[in-house]
Amino acid sequence: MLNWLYNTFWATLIRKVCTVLVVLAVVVSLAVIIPGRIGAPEYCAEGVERSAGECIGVSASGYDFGTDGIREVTRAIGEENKRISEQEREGNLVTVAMMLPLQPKADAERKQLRSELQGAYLAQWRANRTENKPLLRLVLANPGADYAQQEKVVDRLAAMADSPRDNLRAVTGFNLSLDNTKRAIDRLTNKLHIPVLASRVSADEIANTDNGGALKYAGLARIIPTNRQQAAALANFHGGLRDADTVLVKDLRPNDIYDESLAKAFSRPEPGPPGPKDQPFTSPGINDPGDTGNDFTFIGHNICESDAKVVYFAGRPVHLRLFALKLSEVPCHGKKYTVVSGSGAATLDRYMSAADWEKLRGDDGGGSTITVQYAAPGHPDAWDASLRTWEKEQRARTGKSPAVRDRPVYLTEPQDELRELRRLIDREAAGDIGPVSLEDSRTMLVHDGVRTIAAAVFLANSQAAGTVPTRTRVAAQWPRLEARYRVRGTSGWICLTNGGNAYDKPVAVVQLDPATRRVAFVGLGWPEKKPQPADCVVPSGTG
Amino acid sequence: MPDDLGFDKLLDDDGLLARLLGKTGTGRNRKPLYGPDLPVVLLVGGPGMGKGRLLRCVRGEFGRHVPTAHVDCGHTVFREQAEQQTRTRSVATEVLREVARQFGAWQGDGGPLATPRLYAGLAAVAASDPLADTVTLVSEVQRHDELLPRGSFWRGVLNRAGRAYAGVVAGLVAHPGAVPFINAVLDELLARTSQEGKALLAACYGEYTGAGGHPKLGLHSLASDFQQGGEAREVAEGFLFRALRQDIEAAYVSLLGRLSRAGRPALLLDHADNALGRRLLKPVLEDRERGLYDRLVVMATTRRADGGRFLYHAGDAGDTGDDAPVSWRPTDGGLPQWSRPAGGVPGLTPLSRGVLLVRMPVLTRDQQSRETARVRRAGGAGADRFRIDSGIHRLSGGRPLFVSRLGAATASLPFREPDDGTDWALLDARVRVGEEAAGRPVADLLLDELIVRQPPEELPPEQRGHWLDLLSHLSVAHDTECAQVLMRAVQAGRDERLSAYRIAELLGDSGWPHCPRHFIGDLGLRRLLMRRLHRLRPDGAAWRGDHLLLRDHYRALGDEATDEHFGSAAAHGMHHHLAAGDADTVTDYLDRTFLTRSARAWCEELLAIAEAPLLGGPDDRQARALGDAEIAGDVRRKRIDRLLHAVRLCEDRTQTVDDAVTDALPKLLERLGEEPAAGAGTLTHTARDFGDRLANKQALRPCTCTKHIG
Repeated sequence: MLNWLYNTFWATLIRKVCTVLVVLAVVVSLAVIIPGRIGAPEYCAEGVERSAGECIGVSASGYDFGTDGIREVTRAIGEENKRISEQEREGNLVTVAMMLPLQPKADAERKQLRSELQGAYLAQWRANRTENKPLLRLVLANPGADYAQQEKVVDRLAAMADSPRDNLRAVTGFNLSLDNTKRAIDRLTNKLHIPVLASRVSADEIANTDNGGALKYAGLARIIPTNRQQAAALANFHGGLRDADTVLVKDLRPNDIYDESLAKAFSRPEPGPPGPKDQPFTSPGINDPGDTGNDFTFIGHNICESDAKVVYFAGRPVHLRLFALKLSEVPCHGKKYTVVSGSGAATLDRYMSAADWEKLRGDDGGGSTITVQYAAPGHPDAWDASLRTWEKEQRARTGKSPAVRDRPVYLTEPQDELRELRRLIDREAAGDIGPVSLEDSRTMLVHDGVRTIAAAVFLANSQAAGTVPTRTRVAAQWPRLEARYRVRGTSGWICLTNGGNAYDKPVAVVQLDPATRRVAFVGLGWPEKKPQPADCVVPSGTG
Repeated sequence: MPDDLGFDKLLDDDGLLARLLGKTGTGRNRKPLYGPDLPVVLLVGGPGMGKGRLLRCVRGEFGRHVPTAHVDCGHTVFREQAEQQTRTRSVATEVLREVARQFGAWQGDGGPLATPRLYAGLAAVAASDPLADTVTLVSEVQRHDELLPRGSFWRGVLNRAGRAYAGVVAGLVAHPGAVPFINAVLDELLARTSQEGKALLAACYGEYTGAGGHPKLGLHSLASDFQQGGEAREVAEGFLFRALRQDIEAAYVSLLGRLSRAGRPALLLDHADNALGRRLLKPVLEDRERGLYDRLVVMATTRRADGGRFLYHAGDAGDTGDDAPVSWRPTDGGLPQWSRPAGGVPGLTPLSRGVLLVRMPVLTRDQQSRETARVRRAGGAGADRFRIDSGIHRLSGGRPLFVSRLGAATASLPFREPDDGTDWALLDARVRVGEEAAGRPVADLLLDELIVRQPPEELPPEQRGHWLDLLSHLSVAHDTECAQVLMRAVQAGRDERLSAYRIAELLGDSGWPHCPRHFIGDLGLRRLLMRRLHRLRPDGAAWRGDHLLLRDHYRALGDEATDEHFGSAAAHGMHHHLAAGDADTVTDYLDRTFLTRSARAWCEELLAIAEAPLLGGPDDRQARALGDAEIAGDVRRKRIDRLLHAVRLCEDRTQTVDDAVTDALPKLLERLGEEPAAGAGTLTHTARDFGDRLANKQALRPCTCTKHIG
């Protein structure tokens, strides 16, 4: 063996030369590759490592995580970050992390993601042009699909929070109510004391209670009503429905607290004789229809037999779409249904194809069989339509058109804000960020979230100008954001309770309009049954 | 016999072969020994010493890692080929062609060694016969096609040359004396070769005598020298060999060669001590003496102890001056220190300066035991292993062929315990050869292999028939005078006689060792020949006849004539008388001379006489040595008779001697000192000396041919 090796690789000069060259090449390439492989993982971009087929980590450079459609907006974020880091001395910036899965598989999810990133970027762009200091640096944190690898990202965020260079002062994002989301928020707030603003998490579990007790997540703020509040707002909007008129269809897939809290909210007692029992089903995944279609057909037949006309649906949009279609297919003597669901249904239109719309519209010309109604966290038409309604009511009540100054501020201020945002989008002053659609409310919500963070940071900074406020100081500003310091969001006033919840944040009750194939605004629903108080002063007793 | 038996030191990883070839048997690189000036390595050893076997080993083991060409100069095939076209071929060109073919077939590192220079020369020679017809010439030239490097500019030259010649022949009819065929070939050759090819041909053949740098002229001269025959042809052949060595050197010094080749190529010439071998070795030695070095390791076998007479100037043989070749034997240890002696005029100094003599090693006793044990394992266990081993050692003296044949004979065939316990019985063991079921005695086989198949080169053909007979008769001879007497008698009826002096020379040429006291200097060979002589005629008549002839010869010289080895002619005569079988007369002679000779001279004569071998006939020596036999005469005569037989037993060296005899011998000698007339002191002293020698199993009378025993 040894002789064979010698004779093959070392017997003549040319063999020696070739062997040495090959060995050198191998050694050099190994020396280059191995230290990178051992100890340090493979990188997708700076600060982003490849793990289990995904690019996990935090990026401030405008890296698009290889996802189609978000390239423009991430590039814009990267450029803005670069601009401010050139403009401002290092250490005078405050970093805000946008934590949400950045590599979705489905096309619809990619559009949602783009909307959210656009909202965050637009808010950053605006905040950095308000003469307020410190400037905001926006970083994108990818915890992987279903937040499965959030621990790594949270580790990294913790390091950034401690670093005087990064000054991470808030984490936002969190678009899915999952156990992993809950764990991530728990660790960020309770262990690491990093302020968290959950912009689109509606589950009741991811919220502090407003009963004055100890906070479950110290430093958590949220800007949309919880599922229960949304359900309450929906119920309030619909007025008193009898129990016999409603039926609850709920997804039992474990670990999805969005579904759970929605089911819980819809299960509140209703007057009148009892209606049909709850109709459960189990889906294989958030975006996986599986064979739930069969279940829905059977459920549809059962519902047909009952008196129920309003179907509460506690499930994700993918299943909601399927359920609506299946229900519309079930022949039921011309019976018409209203399917009511949570804020997640805001993205329903993204899953709808032309044929789907046809089905919902109904073929017999007798109007749609199914009307899907849900509480969206916001809607671009909300303020204009609500003002028109208000004016109509006033005219009906007083007989004359109300004066402009009498218009309720809780409607006009968000209207102005939204107009401002629209103008910014239309002017493209913030650069090319891809096509912007406000209908699904994600852009608005995330924009409002980052605005809220900016407000807290500026408020904290104003107390000790010139230095970067600490994390606890930023977190301490959440309860201040009411009344005078209320945040005038595009989705409505944001006045935080001491538990960090938005007080009486209105929901936009919307329905899918098969005629326009759009989400049509129906009206505003108020979790507290009445609009927000003047100047958004959070009343006592709400924490 | 394993091929590498006894060659461990030569073949091992830092041995001479590995260092000469720059590669070990397993392919490891070694720093090459010597260089750029290399000696021609002559493997020196008599018949049966394993010279050819060593070359086969080199070919087999090292040939995998360095290019080797193996040529047996003893093969008649080269001569036969050359004789088909004597005008355009010679034995040397055929050998060179074979060597080039073998190097061209090398498939190891670096690939085949191309030989364009040799091809050009051979093609010129092949085309040079002015008398042959075109067809013959074309086929002669095309014979060398296989030497053309594949796929190179040399291809196709010949076909075009042939076509061109067709036109020339047409013109020849009209203009007699037009261009001969060789011109057409050479023109084509040079026209077809690239600049590079022309340059290398110019560098090679431009150097030919009278070429003046023009390759065509050089090739022409070469061809015409070849045609001229005689010495001119030898020069041409030598130059062709130089061209071949330049080809090989070029294959190693080119950039690709340096990168892809390692070690040195080897040319192995077996049986190189004939005319062909000398014709090949001489030009190499001459060129290297002139400073034309190359890296071809030339290894040739030769039987003569001095390597061959052509290496020395006449009359200088055995010269111990600066020009004596370096002689080295593996048992010397280390590596031979060879360097060409400074000074010397090329052409005038003897060729021995460029030679390294490597003496073939004899097998040590351990190696012999291992070999016999190996053979015996294959054939079943022998009874008295040690006795047979020591018998083999006595007879073979470590000569590998002897050892292996005797080992095989005593092991593989049903070998009965020798009845008389002597080495003669070992030689009677039968060994199976070919189809013969009964086999033939190993002695006959050995004589066949050692003598009959390897006659001396200069032995006249008419003497070949009875060469073995002559040697058999000579086995009883001691000095050349003794031998000459025998030769005259044996060849009485012949016209062409070989003198004993000539035979001694021929034996030396054959590589047999010389012993001052025995004409056949090798103990084993002498025993083989004696055995054959004894059986030449029924009842050992030839044996007795030769001894009696010599006895009569020395008796006729008169008692007081001196003899170099026996003290006196009478003693010499008595030696042969004793060998012929009559001990009593010898006892009488010794009894008589005991009073007349000095004690020392008497002892010398006793030893010389008692050395007479006993072959055939009853062996009563032990009985008489121990005094068990009835002996006539007085006490002194009885003692002398006992002493004679005791000494004869001890000096026989064909068997182990009984301790009783060895004990008795010194005592007998000492008691002789009690006689009033004797030199008691000398005898006592000698007795002590003999006692010591016997205790050490040494010969009482040391001799060159028996010194390996003991």
